[in-house]
Amino acid sequence: MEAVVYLLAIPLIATLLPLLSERLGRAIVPGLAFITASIATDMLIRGYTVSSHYFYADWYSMVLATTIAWIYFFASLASLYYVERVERPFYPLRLYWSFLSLFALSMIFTAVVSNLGWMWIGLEATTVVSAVLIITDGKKRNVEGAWRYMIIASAGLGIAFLSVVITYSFAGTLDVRHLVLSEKAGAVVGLLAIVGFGTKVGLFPMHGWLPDAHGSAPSPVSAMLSGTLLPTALLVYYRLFKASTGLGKEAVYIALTVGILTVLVASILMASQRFVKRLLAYSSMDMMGVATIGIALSYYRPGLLKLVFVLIAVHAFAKGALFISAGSAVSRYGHEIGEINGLLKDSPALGYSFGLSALAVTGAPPFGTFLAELSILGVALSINRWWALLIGTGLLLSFLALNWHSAKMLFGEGKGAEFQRGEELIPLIMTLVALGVSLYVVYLALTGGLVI
Amino acid sequence: MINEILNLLGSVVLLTAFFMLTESYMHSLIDAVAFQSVLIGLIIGIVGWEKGIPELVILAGITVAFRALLIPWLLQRDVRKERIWRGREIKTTHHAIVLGLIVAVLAYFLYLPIYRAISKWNGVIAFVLLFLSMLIITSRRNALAQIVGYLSEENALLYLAVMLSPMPMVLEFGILLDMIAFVLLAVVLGAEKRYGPLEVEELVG
Repeated sequence: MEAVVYLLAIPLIATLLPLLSERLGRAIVPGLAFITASIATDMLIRGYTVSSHYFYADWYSMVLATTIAWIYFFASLASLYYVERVERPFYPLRLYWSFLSLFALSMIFTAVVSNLGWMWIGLEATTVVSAVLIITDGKKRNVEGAWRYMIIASAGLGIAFLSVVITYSFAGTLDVRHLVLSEKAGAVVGLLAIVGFGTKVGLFPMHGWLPDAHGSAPSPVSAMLSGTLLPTALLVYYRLFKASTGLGKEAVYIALTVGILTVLVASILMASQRFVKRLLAYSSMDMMGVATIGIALSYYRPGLLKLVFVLIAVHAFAKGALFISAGSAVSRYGHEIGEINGLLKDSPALGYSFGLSALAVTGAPPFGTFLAELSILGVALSINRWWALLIGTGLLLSFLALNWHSAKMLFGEGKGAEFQRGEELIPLIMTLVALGVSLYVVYLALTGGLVI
Repeated sequence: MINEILNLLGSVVLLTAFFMLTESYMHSLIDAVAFQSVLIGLIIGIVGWEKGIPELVILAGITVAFRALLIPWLLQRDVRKERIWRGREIKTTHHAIVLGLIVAVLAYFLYLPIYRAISKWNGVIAFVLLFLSMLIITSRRNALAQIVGYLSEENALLYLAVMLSPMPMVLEFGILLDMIAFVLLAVVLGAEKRYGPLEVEELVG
């Protein structure tokens, strides 16, 4: 039996046991999540890969699975504080713990299966589970956000289904290892895949659900949605991208155009946001745009893909820290950016983790995102300098937008809000993990362990 | 012969989609989608029977059981319970039929590159249906009507998958799509209990 099964079995246990009682869920879910994450990390360090009938996990899948497992762990820790704040839940809270685990399970499943059909099923399952998680709070805006998310995401996944069907009717198989498409089929599938799976990634112009869903979800769920669900959909897109660029280049241009537009639109929208969590949601959209550009450019320079996944991992931890600290801040100050003031003074730990993570997700050195964005710019520059100019503009705009808002929230007199120790510690640790991963990657890059 | 029957059924399916686009009464909208599901069930059943694929016959059964009987029944019960919707004309755009025609023609042209890639014409009706269903979802503000649109979209997807090439996993896809329909329904019913009939509004920000 493949070792990857453990990554699915443990979250499955964590899905089933909390159904018995809420207290049991509270007690065991973080522990089981920690075990999953530790196993995944161990597998990643040992360089584990699998290629069997049911499973296919290369290094990229394992990076993603490890990230998912860790974000799941941190989200479950943050949920311990979140569930205390829920006043009138939409359903019994034991289901919250169960769905949280099921959400992680469906994402890890999507990342490690070998069959495109199962990937699609996994992604569609994440839609349902995460939509249900969004309405935990039971307020009207949660229901509306979740509703719009479900409707748009399932419409998008309908298009994605179409790309899967066409891939099958052309290639005769759905196994991602053996997909080969002709030039014409590659262009069609590339377009349908970026529209379909891109809806889940939050790419322009199918991003309409993203700010509503992220803005109204519980903070731990936002962290998982943003940090791990979007990259999971991106991984599935990458599998199809690779198949559709085997013989033709159209899919590369499609991905590049969509990626650049996403970055530009997201960075402009970020500048004009009033609500913290919507701001962060647009920042995720921006990062996924960068990752899509990276995937497109990996056609020219395959080594770039490693840095794209470094970017995804660092972004996941940093964005998780941002969402979780924003969740704590929102419950004390209010939803609007203008209402939050002097975070650094009220809680230095939260302030530092928010500020540093905001720098991390906008690609400031020494974070791994900086290295990735720099390489993406470099590769773009070596191919076409107009692409590089557009990408650079987008990156600069988003850097200014997010950090400007972040600075407004961090500095100031403060309002004397008080936070629990754990609430401060979780985002801080996540930020430090992002920093640690980044420094390790920089070390690898400097010592020649990472060549693109 | 069989191909002609399939095409005939397919065109009737398209007509139901156009009917649904402009129908303003909830109860007959639900009846329309139930009827459409019966037709889709027939199509899937015929293809499955002809090619001897048991999964497709099961899928046809599921289609009729869930999307033609169970879900429409649940929807009808809900419509009858809420007095506001009895005979209530939900807001439909009166130019929806024109919009629908434009979308249908557009979908036909969008199908051309697919045809060039896989050289099969028999998916075109399902493809047009997919776009019309999306139009139903986006042109309606009412959550129950959007569920009906979702059911129609699901019909279109399964129809397309069966017509283009009977895929190995189509049964699993169908079951999952039905589960999502149930979740959508559960969310709406739960939300109605709390806040009354759900209309999706623009969220601020």
